[in-house]
Amino acid sequence: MLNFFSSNEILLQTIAVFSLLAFSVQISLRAGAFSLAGVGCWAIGGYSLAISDRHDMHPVIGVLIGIVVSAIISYLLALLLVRLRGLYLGMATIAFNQMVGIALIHGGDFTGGELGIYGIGARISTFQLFAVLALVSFLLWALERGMLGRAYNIVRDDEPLAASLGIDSESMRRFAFVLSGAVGGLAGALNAMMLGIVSPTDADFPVIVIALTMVIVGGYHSWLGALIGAALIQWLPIGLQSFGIEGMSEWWSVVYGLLILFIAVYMPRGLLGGLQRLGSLMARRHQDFREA
Amino acid sequence: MLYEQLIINAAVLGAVFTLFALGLSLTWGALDVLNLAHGATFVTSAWVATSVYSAYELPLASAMLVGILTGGMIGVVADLVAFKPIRLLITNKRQAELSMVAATIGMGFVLDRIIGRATLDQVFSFPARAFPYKDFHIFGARISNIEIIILVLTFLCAVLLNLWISRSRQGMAIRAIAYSAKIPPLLGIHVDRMSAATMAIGGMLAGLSGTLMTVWVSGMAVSTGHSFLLKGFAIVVLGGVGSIRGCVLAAFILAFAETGIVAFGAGNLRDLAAFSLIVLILLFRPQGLFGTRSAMRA
Repeated sequence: MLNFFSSNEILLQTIAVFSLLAFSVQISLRAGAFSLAGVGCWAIGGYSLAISDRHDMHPVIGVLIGIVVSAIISYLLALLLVRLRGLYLGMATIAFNQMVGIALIHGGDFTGGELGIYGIGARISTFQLFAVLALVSFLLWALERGMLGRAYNIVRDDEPLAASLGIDSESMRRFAFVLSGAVGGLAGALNAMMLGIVSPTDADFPVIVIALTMVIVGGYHSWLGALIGAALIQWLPIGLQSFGIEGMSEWWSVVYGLLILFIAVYMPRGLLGGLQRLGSLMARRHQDFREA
Repeated sequence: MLYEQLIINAAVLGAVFTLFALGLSLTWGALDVLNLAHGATFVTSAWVATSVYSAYELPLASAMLVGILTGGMIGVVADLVAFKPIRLLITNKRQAELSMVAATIGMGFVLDRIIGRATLDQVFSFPARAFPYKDFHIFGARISNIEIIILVLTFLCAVLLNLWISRSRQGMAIRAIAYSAKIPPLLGIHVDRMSAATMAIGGMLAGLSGTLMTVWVSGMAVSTGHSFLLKGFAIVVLGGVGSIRGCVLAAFILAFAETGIVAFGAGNLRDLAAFSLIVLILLFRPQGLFGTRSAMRA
């Protein structure tokens, strides 16, 4: 067991960090906002940590700065984009991410230009990463149950109904935006500590695609889905390679794409939704059997 | 002299953008598909055309036709394996949109990796002898024969597509599908067939722009698809989703903006043009320049 942890430490760290990124996107999707701004915040968080590290600040302060800056920017973004819905909001937030990337390239010495910032001194252990992950998971779990969770379900699925029940969907969505940004910033800061570098490509299109993929594959209705998605998507390339049937390792990425396609089409609630349905189906069959 | 040349360059760039974005606009407008595989379709078609050309020594035009048909086929396959089952299985509109986005991510990934492996992520193109480049001079500026072909073909495609959408029965059917999901089947419209046709046309337009682009700048790589995809979205949003005229106008606005930025010495800010256009238009006129759909706006 110990051997497993030490040989897969990098994979485990990556899963923890990307789970947080997936949470960031999942929070806004669950609130019914197709916002991908969490990826821009991921870059902002990473740079906040890197820059505060360069000024010899304690890493915890760097992470906090990342979270606060991301949250403030997300709040302003939420005010700005309040009228957009659906795919339009998605486009606007993709544009936001790209502009963050461009700003980072043109930030001069402050952001290190095209190359980004190398040699970040702050480090983080696997244990600390998982402690943070557990904490954030617990927070989201608490948010998703009870009144608040149900209110978010209504805001997502039927806005007029939410209004008729006296739910202020605008302020709820704004809160989801800020939370999503804060978690994105946290994920970015931890990622910067894990890798020791940040670069403008952190806000690039491939990161958006991977974040969205993790959430949709796992299922965006719950934090657990995002966690499953992140773990699967990060593990899959290594997993497919190690199972390698002859010649398989060369084509793993195609298999990976096909898997995403399959889940998108046949499991609208993601893997978690699929598992839950399987579970309830089996429970019902068991019950039928007992009644008969 | 310099300005005339800049205008010609911008116009050709605008034409390539137009061809690319027309397909995106059509599928987004009619089927509510944010097709993230459009860039990969564009690259794949170009790659098939170049490989067919060098493998079978076909005439350039037929190799390009093979590429264009490949694009159409990718569109049809996408519709059959992904969008049709999603339409059947998922009734919630927002959920269906998300599932389709995810499905196109998967598809784009598959295409990207196949082409990436085949080309080792290097630039590919037709051999230099494939096309007899020739320059003409008008108003003191230089325009090559491929540039004239691109401009003419783009004009034809845009006009024909606009006529087809606005005048033909199929065009009306597509507009009906775009308007409502429930009514068209009651009117006897084959939603599945029209959707496959729309995807085929979208794919062929991607193929046409991809092959033309490869001849024009004599080079294409997997990453070209990604940067075109983002610009394509900017154009669609700017022009108004589903509007052909808006799409053409927006493509030229973006091309002139980019050319202008590069000409006035801020080459590395070139990509900023697309994204600031997206943000500005979404803030002040979310339905786009020519858009009619305001339903998306709460």
